Amino acid sequence: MHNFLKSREVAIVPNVKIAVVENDQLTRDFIVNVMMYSVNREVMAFADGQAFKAYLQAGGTVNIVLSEIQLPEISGFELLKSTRKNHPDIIFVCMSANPADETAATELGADAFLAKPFVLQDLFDIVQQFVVGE
Amino acid sequence: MIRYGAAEQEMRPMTTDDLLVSRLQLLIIMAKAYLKGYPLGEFRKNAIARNARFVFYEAVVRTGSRRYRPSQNKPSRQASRPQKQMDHLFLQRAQLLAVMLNAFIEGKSEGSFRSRAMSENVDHICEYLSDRLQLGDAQFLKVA
Repeated sequence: MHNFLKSREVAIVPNVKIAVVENDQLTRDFIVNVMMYSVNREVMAFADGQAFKAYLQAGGTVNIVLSEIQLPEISGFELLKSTRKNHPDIIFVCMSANPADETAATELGADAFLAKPFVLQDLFDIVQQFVVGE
Repeated sequence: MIRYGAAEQEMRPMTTDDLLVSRLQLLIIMAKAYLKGYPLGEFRKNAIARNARFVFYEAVVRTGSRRYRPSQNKPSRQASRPQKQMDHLFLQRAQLLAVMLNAFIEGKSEGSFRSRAMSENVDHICEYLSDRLQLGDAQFLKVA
């Protein structure tokens, strides 16, 4: 289990940092909107994997990332692999509309898989699972 | 690995219809949380304003496009007229909820009658959506 999860004792992890990596703007805005409302914090949004990777390489921090798999240039799987290697404590949620991606996400060590199309309750469940304390 | 979202055989890209329904559900949760006095912060207010804006304009676009295509409103034997009217009314209610909630968070609206009006509007929309999403599903909203 991640240290991030072990250490949670309060209702919402203080100053939790969430990033959404999604190239579809409408979907990205919706997820950011739900997360921002749920945790009452700023939520980072990235339109491609390169921008998110650059953010981490520049020393940026994040606790939870929700990333689409089918991204242009750097795929979500590549992001997952590099995140697992360099930032193993980050909770990584893969999103995809392709059923074939689920097996690969499991093998690469994703914490969760969000199958599209999803509904509001799925995002609330992710908050409940990964952000809210015991 | 925990799995969320659509069943494997139902997986497909998100559509604007998926997003509108989900955003409307979010607006309902936001309205219910507001009426229950759950804590609001700047980010939550910002999130409410953004969501209300999306729902409002999407509803305007959809009702507007119907207005410019009058053949869609023609009653037929197959298409039930009350259902068509309900669709239009539903979108009007969604717009109204967006306006109401935005006015509340901007402090431009208050009072028990306005709160009751918003609550009744939420009930109508939920009834239309057969919405089963309850505030109890999002207990974390009690925390700022």
